[in-house]
Amino acid sequence: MLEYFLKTNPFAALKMLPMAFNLLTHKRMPLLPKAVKGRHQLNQMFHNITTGGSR
Amino acid sequence: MRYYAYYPGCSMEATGAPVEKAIKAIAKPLDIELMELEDWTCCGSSPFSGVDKVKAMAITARVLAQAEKTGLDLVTPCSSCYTILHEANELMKDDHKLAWQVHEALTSVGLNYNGTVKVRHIVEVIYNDVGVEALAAKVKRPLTGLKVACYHGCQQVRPEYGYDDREYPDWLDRISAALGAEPVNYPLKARCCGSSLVISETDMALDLIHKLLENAAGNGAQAIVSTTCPLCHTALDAYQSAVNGKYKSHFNLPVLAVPQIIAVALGLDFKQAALDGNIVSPRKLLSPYLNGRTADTDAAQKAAAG
Repeated sequence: MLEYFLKTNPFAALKMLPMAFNLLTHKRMPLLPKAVKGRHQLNQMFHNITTGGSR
Repeated sequence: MRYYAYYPGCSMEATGAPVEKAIKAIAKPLDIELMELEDWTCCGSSPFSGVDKVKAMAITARVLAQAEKTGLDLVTPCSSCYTILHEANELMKDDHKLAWQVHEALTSVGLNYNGTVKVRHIVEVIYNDVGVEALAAKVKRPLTGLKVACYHGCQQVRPEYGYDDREYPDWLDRISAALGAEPVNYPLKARCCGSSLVISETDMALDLIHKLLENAAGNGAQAIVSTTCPLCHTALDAYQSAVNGKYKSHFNLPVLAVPQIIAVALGLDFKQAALDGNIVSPRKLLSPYLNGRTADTDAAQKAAAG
């Protein structure tokens, strides 16, 4: 989301602040995202698809 | 006890946290055991498949492969996950080229998917497996007099994997009625809430949310009972103040995810039902039900009234 706003219109993100505050105070927006699970497997699968696997 | 493999989806760990908490709270009283998949990842949802179909289907198939190992039906509460998991399941059967690429990718990490998993939505499980009559029999606090607008959203019933009527779904209405509430009729119950546009096309999304709130309130609803989709719940709940700001309206409609309203009717308290996570607080609206109103007191009142 941050990346999207930085690429398009950073000031538009300011409009989201009240809602972000609401989500934060209701424990619905963690400050730090959880680490992606199974990252190693995902990388390996994507590599297999990109390189064409065993073909 | 009924056992299911459970895939919560990413949103349930953030914006959908209260919905998830309520689902876990009602599972035991409804004799449901949700066994969360180990090491699950994002399903890719619809945006990723628009960028790279094969990779998107591969990560979805990884979830399906993990579920297949359990031998159980795969249950998800997120309507977006439900749609994409169904789509991956169908494409793995119908699109042989894609299925082969995905199969190779899975094999490279020691996984295999044979296409045997049945993907189900938690609302469908509550409706069909628990059953409306059994649910009504478990009610400790009937929600008598509570007028609710049931919001099904779009992906739970469309494009083609839905389990309810596509144009006028009514399973949430039947569940709400079993809890003693009074579902109101309103035409926009399956209209998109615009949540997938809320960042990129905010004005368009707020317009859709405004129409839904106006339609529900205009038909006499005191609250919205939403499906378990965390995107729908957040759009209607968290963006209500933004809608009020843009349209100079005064909506204050609590948005109760269906597990939350079930939790209240089953006798769980405000926190157990995760209602403290709702941005439009339902405390005032639900206080008559949370403060001692039970099936016994209702029966006594009826008897006293003759």
